[in-house]
Amino acid sequence: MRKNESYEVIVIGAGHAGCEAALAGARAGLSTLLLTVNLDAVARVSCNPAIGGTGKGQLVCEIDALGGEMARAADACGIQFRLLNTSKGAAVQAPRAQIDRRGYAAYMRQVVEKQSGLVAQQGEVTEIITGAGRFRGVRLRAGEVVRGKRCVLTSGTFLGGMIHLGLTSYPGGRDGETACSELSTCLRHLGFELGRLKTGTSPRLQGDSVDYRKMKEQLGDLAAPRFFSRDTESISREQISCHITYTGQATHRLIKRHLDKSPLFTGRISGIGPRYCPSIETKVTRFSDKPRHQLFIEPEGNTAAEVYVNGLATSLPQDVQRKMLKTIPGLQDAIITRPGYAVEYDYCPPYQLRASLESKQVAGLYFAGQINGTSGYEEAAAQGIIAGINCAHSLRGEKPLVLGRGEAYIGVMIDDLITKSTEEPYRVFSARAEYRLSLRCDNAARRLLKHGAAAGLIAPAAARRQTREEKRLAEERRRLSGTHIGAKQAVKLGCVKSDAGKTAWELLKRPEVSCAVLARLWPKRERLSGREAEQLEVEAKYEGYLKRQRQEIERLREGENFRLPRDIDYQSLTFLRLESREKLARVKPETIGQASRISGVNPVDTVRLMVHVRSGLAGGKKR
Amino acid sequence: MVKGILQGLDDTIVAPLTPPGSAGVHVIRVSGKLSRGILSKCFRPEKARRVKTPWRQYLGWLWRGGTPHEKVVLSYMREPRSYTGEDCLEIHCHGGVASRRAVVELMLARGCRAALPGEFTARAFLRGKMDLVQAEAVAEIVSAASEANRQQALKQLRGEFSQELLGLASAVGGVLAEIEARLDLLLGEGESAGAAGRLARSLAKIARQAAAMCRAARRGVLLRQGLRCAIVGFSNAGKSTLFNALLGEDRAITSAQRGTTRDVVIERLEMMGRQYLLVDTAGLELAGSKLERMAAERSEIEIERADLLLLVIDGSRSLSKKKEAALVRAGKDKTVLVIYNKADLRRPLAKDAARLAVVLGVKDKVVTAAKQGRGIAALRRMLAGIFDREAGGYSGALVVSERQGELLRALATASVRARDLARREQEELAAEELRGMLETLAALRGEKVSDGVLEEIFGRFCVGK
Repeated sequence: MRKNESYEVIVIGAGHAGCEAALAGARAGLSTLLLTVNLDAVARVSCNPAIGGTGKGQLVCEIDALGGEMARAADACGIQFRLLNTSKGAAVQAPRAQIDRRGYAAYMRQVVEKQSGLVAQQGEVTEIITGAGRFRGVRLRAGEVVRGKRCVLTSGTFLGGMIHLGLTSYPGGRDGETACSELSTCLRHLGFELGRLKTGTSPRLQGDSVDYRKMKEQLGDLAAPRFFSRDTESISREQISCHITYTGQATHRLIKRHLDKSPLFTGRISGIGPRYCPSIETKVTRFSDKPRHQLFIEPEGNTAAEVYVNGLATSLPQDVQRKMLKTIPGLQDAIITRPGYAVEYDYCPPYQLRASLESKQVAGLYFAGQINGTSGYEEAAAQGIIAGINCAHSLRGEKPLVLGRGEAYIGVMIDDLITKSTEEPYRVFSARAEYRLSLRCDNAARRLLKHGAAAGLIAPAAARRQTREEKRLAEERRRLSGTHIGAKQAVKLGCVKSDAGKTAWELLKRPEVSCAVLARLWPKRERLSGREAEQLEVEAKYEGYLKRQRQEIERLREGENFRLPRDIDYQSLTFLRLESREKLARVKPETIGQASRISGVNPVDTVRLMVHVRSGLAGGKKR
Repeated sequence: MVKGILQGLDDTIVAPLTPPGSAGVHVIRVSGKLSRGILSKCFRPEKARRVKTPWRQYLGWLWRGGTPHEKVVLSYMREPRSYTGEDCLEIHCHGGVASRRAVVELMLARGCRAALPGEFTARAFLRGKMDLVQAEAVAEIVSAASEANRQQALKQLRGEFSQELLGLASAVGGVLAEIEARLDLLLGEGESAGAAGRLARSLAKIARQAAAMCRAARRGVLLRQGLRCAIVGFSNAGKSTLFNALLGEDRAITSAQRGTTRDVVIERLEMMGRQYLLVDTAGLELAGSKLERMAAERSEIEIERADLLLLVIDGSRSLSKKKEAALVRAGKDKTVLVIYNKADLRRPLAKDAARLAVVLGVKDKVVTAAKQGRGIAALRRMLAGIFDREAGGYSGALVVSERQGELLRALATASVRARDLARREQEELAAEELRGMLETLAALRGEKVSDGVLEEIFGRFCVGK
């Protein structure tokens, strides 16, 4: 490697965040370097072999709309597709897929390797070099320096990573891979505050040692699977079932007996674990009244011999894990191929970031993924693509891409991260999105494709196709709103005669009327595609609510457009409550909207701050 | 720079607390960080060297330009223990217009700014001394016309309404959390069993609570504005005579000639601690001339607006079928009190009275001879009874501003929608309504307000509060 080699973007880490960041950078036309400790470990699916779920499925669709890769990779490697919450409304339905673990990593590595403008290299970064508060380059383990203009740090669980298995612990970023410790020290030197988090994983078993006859089979949606990407029409991979079994009282007794060997319960792990994905030890103690806990036996891939036990994340010693399996129907004779373990790692509390994911401390240095305190592949990838896109915008001197809470789940997540600064691993939920009725998979492209196109990640042809689709939808909507239904037609639709005189659009609002049903009236008309029909139906059925949300989102924008000067001395604003002052001084919000969402900042104080800034009292520059 | 009470918290503001004109004593308040400086530079107590103890009254002189300016009683209140939460001075001066002006001008010369209406209370709110509900209650107390109104507003100042809102918000939050957990599939199997029934019950309870608050607010409006009573009947039934008798003065012109009252006459009246708006209207008969037609139209509007119709019938004559039908039409869907007047001329026909009562479903009736003042006391008692029934007495009412009333109505309708949506298993939409309710509750408690709303609320105050 030449010493003066220089890139426009350097991405550190090749996990889900790193891959999307690097691909986004390269696709936006930037010379991009992707650095990873192990080039054979690109885009590893290190926990359960599945992508999507409530909230997460929407994230993947949004990544797709912005021009990312995760959706296509998940579709290509999916071995069981299921749409969740089908008994509920469209806005809370979410796609989820089991994926071929090895296949996914191989697919992603190939995409990265084929991407022009992107160099993937093996190398451990030990230092981030800065000058005058800006990112300048990185130093590698062997001492070489690579210069760069922008950097995306996606260190995952590797910063100060410590693996726990029973009472044994050793440094490591993931089972069998070494951790990085110098980088944590370097970040502290640069003025970043670091915290400690923990996450766990389940044991993996030899597939042919599992007795499936004692379990319930769970089939995927074989008839019409829901894919993540707008471009996927069909898949060729063979589909495989999951199986369901349960822990029992015997399992729980055993776990309680061995809690003294759990690093979680003996105080060896200080990092905070994910509340919504707890270890089996935690579940058994916290919900001690529950007679059993559900477990999913998930296949690891089409050709893989291993299976994953979803729901049994644990850091108990291996022999206890083995005994535990003996108490579970179907797993009595199961052979553990890799034990479950917990990993503790450093993260950088994300209040230290701007909404663009650029750090407030070092200009040009962006953070994405687990280093920001999130958990989940989808969360990581979504931050990765935003960081990559914003490197490009920043190098072109353009405004960063900041998605609003009313625009995307990604916007909700990043806003939550920077204003609430998570203290436990952050997972996206549909409940976190107050405008979730507007943030659906079906309209992800309509919401976000334009941003992907502006950054250069979406081909012009695809953008034109999207424009045409939107035009077609608007036309069809106008037509349906202007078409009054006669008595005979109403009966044909399965409605009653007294519905005559209503418009087709009004009838579409009813649960029993779909676009396909309406099409009976106009057999000769060209039909809408499945995706188009879905968008129209959802919009008809949610119409009143969507309208209200649009108004609220508009109001929200006022707060986002009210920018706060960077140099406000919050500690001197004695008219604010002490707690508000401290929180504001710590976070240094960019807008009054952000300030109002910081927990601990009194709403009245937000108004007072606004009054203060508006009357020209704040900000040295103004006076 | 933005104009209005939220324009600047850095200014020190001054305003008299007492109304303009001569009085026994005038009180002037100064609030803001200049208060201390003014205290040390302009005030010399008579019996002490300086003001040592805050919250104590000192007799002394205000000085201006080296000469004694005005003799006053002054107290200094240190932040945050003052009305506004800032350093405050309260200055009692002589009751003359000139004294009052002299003190205010001295303060203005010392760098204070004249306070805008409601600005002291706005600051108290902005300094976290009171929540918005309490601030609005202050406005109510200041403008309270009746004892019942004052009692209610005081209760709210103590924060009882805020507490009630907080309780409802926590109930709504609880149900929402449960629905969200279901939507995000966080509940394991078994946990959702029986949850649907529990949810439905909680939602129904919330809807009942919200509806009750709405009713209480409507009663609060009665407390503040008074029960609007329209005196309605045919010409020459003695409506205006009754009107005057209730007022205890000859406000409306009366004569034996039919159609003496051509226009609506409205008077405010306090009887037995309760507020009424008494409305005298023209006769109900079919209008002939253009003038009569206009009078009849106005009467109709008043009937529509009234909370209570006092249906006055000439008890000395029997009621024709046509007239009876007209009375029934007027009284449809209204609260009605039937008054048989002119009892001095002839005893009212029992069968007329009974029939009308049945048709209108009216239980309240009274016999009067307004001209002689007979039966008026009974009528007053009856009105008090109706008032208490409508306003729920002193206790069941909620004094709310128009803003709060509107929010409460929105809350009640949303709660009904949430209940029904959950019943139809449209949980994501029920969640939407519940989120909206939480926002509304926050707005009611003043936890979520735009500055436009604040300007409007504090703009209702008179100067000085």
